[in-house]
Amino acid sequence: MSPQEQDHGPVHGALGKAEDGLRKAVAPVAQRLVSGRAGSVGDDAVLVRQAITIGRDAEELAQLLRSPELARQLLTTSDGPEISVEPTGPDSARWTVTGPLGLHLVSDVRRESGPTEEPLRWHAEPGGDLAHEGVLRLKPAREDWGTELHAEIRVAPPAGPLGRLGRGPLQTAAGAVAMKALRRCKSLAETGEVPTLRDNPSGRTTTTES
Amino acid sequence: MRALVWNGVNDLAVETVPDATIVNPHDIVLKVLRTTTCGSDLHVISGYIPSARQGDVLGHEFMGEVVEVGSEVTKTRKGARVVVPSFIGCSKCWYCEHDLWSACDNTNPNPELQAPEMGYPTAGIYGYTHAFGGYAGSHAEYIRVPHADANCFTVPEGVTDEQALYLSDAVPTGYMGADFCDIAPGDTVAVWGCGGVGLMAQKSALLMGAGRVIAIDRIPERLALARSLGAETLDYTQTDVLEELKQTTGGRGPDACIEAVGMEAHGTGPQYAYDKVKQALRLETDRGQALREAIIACRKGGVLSVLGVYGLMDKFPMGVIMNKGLTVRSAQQHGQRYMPEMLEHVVEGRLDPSILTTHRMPLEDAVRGYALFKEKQDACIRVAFVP
Repeated sequence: MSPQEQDHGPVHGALGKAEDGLRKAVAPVAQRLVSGRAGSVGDDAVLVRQAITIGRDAEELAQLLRSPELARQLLTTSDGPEISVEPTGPDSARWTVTGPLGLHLVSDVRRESGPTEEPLRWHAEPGGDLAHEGVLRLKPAREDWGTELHAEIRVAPPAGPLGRLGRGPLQTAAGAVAMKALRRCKSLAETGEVPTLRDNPSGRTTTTES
Repeated sequence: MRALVWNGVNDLAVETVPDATIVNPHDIVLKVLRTTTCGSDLHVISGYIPSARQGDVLGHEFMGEVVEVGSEVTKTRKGARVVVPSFIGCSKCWYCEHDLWSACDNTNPNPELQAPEMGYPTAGIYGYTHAFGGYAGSHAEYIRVPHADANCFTVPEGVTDEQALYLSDAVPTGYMGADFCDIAPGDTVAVWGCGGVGLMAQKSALLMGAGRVIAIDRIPERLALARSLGAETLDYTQTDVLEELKQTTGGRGPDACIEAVGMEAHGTGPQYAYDKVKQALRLETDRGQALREAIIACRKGGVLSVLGVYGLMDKFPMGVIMNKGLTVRSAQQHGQRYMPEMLEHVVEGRLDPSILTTHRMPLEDAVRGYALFKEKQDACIRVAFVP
């Protein structure tokens, strides 16, 4: 018996079943609300800005940021929100974000490389679930700090007018994803690897027998 | 492998968990030879540090033998006997390059859990909640060590496993706390707490030239150990600490005060009762008696060195710090910075951290070990587990 099972009394069990039931009832409706209703990135888009300083020179960083593999390396994590990035061409990929209630937001994303000071832009193609566009810019940092990486991302609230009610949480969530991606980018650039808890031993997959 | 896991508030068990493995190219896997209890673990076990998850493997102070090496590890050799600082550095970011290792920017996989409260995340640490990285801890047969070349320090011949063990956390924390005090020859340094960190801070202050070190605690055996290291002692249950420190320093106060107690301080009087009730009701995380006392005791223009782990505290006397012009210095420990000089002190016989071990037991008995440690039973200062 797992510790989770041991700890779950009748009250926890009933709550868990109620939660599962709610999820099953609400999820299909919510999925219909968001699917293909992203609209376009207009005046009502949520603006997310994040920055990080990386101890590498701008040219070296620009090269890393233009890499087609980068989005997958930065966004696909075993530790945070579930995002998958599947390449669909040399400059395009399908991003799938798994949100609360198991909702799937799918976007086909096209990327465009640029000069060192603005090495990457991307945008979601029309018709997806999550309309957004972004740009990465590089600026020299002072003294021995390296280079500042600035991300600016605009996200249209999904699910039309209903989604506009959730602008605050959307901004928080998008900001957190962007910040985590920048931090992972910094680690990759400075150390050649991204910190991870993959295969981290824990008692969540445990047996009590020796 | 066998490991000590946290299954909820004050609920520990030794269980079989998946083996530690190489994940990133700069990792090694260490066979743990010694791993020890730390007072800061008690804050996690009691649920005062948020983001522990059921099943997390505890422990962050350890040493062992390298048994597996990642593809890009260049200096750390299989078979080496090494000690590993509890906070994980990368050696490549600005913070590591400036010897601020516990502020490393590249080793915490969960920065988003800390940033909202702290602004910017710390380095990752083993076995110390998910906000601090979520890495599996050392109370296990094996542990994965990221960025091994930056974090594994070979233990010289003649240094025992248990001497090396405490160089992972207790010694560097105390040593750093004394270093923060910029001790001038003859200075008086007061140290709150005679646990592993406090005792090592006392010894370090003496090694750095302090004229007097005054240790404050209530446990007779701990006070006796402090005296054996060369400190004078005050039992706060028997004396008015502030008054005594004032008298013994000619009315000036100690030149530097090191706080090595943290958020579960014991104490006396109504302020202590107030903290105890608010902490029990989860209205604050900290019982701050020792820290408040250290602030008030310190001489004007002196240094306050804070080593205890804290969360959110009521009634923090910021006005005293400001009006007396204290310099406050604090950090999680930068062990990588101090390791060479600490090892030199041990090799040359000036420092023997193994005095901290009062109990030694197999990892299978770790639940009992933590009970002894938490309740300070049987004169327990530290329990060394042998996996």
